[in-house]
Amino acid sequence: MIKYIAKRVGFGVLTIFVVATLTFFLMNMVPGGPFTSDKLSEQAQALIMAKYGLDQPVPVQYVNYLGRLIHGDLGTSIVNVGYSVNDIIADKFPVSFSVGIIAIILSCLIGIPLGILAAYRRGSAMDRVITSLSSLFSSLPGFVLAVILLYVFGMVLHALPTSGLTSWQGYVLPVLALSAGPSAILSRITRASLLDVLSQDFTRFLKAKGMRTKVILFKHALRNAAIPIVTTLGPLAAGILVGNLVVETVFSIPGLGSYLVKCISQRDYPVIMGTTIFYTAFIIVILLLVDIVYCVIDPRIKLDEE
Amino acid sequence: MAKQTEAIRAQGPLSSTRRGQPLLQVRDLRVSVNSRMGSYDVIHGIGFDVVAGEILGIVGESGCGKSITMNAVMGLLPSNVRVTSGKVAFRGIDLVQAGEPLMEQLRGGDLAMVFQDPMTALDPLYPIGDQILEAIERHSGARGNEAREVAIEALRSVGLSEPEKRLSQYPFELSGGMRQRVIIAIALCCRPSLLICDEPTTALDVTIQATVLDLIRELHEQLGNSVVFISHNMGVIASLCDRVTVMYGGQIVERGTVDEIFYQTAHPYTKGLLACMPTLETPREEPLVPIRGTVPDPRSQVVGCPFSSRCSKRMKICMREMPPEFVLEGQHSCACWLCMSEGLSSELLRVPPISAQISKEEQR
Repeated sequence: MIKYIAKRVGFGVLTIFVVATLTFFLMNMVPGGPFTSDKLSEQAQALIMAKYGLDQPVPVQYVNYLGRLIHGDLGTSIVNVGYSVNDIIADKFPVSFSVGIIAIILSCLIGIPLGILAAYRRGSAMDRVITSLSSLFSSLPGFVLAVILLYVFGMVLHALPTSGLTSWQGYVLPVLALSAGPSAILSRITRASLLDVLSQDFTRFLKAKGMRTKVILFKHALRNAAIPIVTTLGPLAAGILVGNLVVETVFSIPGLGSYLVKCISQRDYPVIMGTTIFYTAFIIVILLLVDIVYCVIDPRIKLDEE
Repeated sequence: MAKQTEAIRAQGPLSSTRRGQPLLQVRDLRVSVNSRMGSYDVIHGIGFDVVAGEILGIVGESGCGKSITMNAVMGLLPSNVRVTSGKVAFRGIDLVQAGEPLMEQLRGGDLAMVFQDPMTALDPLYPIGDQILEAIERHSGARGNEAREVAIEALRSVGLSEPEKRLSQYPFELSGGMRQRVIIAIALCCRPSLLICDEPTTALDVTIQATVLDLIRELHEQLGNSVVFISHNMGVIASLCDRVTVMYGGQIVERGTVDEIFYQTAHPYTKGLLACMPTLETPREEPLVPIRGTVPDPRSQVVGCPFSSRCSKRMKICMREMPPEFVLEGQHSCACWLCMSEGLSSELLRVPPISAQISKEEQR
């Protein structure tokens, strides 16, 4: 297990290196720069560019950046002078995470039970309602739902605040907007996976043993159906926890997602790079956790085997 | 052989006096499948008894309704298949009318079933011990160490070495033969009075098949329970069963003691099943005789005898009317018009109106 984790961490570092390289060159291919402005003279622009080392050729900048990255230094923001990228992530990420964790827990609490219900009552009206809702919400883009929620609860009903996270009510709309899609996807995966398990021979043998439906469903079938559910849940959770760009922007949440959008438009290179690397590392960790959870669920899966 | 038959008849399953009443009585069982095309019958009103302490074989090709029949008895039919009429009396309880809570108590307790493929019949994620203990705890009062003892004893009785160690092993750590033993141990751990075996050896190696069959026979002798053994293998049936029921197209076409079925074979279908089995005396060059054609699609409404389309001795009446079961000698009976003259001399099991016209046609 430890050997496997070490191997995965090694590959993770390699992945981060590749992602950092790609991001660096792609970012520099986009025209414009942090100081492109009509108000600054060309001379002033050149001076500032030189101060941040942006006047050097891109390959040189790349090598310099990697040198700092190895020491864990993600650089400082160009736009918000005086803030290091590490500080910005430490400041913004908890905000995104607090909304995201509630959303992902809510998605599990809604999606998985609905999936179980749909599979258990397969072919019933209940099943059809759940399946249709699931298709609807998994195909509805997040920003459409966010805007609808904003309009209905914020503007028409005046029931909930439309921006910020100053009170608990502030969490309601963003959490709803974030969890609708994942709930739908989870309910569909749970239903399909459970139906597959329930059609297997061992379910019939469990019935032949006289096991109660609830034991068959919750003790045996659900655990067997869990692998695809966890496989879906991992990346889904990673995507939500690091902050959804659209939802954070719509609800003016001071999280990492909305901040990244701002930085991209301002060409704040170090922040873009740093955040991307942070995302990558976060997803690598989540996927590793998913692999460990596989072992807990299924005794046949051994991580150390060749 | 005749002597043997004589002997069976003397004490016979009629030795039920000694071994008790019929344990399971199936009467006029009809099972139908609902599909998008509408519903159609797959079991056409069959009836049979399982006497306490006997091994009853049910033979037929795939799709003859053997498994459906016994799954109907167990209440394990898939959701689109249901019993439309008939009675399944088990120790005086009608299983067709019994609700799910009662069936759950009976299944795995007094009424057990073993399936075809041991590789997929156990939950892959739980240790063997867990899967046997949950059955024991469900059906007997035993808990904790007491239940563990029962489990170890059950595993030992099916010939598994080191049963204590097996409890913590997972199904994937056992071979197919060992898994089938575990499954039989689970089925028998609560001492069922009826064990249904649905082709339990079909998925196993030939060498393992024999040991599993021996095991079923041994345990049957020890426990004195009744066994219904479903198979398409006439050899297995001959070596194991007391009585045999031959099914075709959702109907029972012939039944009797093993000797009657194998030595006084009456139905052309049974003869066909026997003919396609090689014997030691069969010369190597001689091809086996297959039964031509395939089992009729249950969706097509067959008029007359379901076997008529494949039968080499087909007569006009066979395509018009299903023959009743004619009682032959002893316990032997056969649903074939060819048996009519013989059968008429004795009492009919089911007496449908046989018009004068038909008997005339027969004579011609």
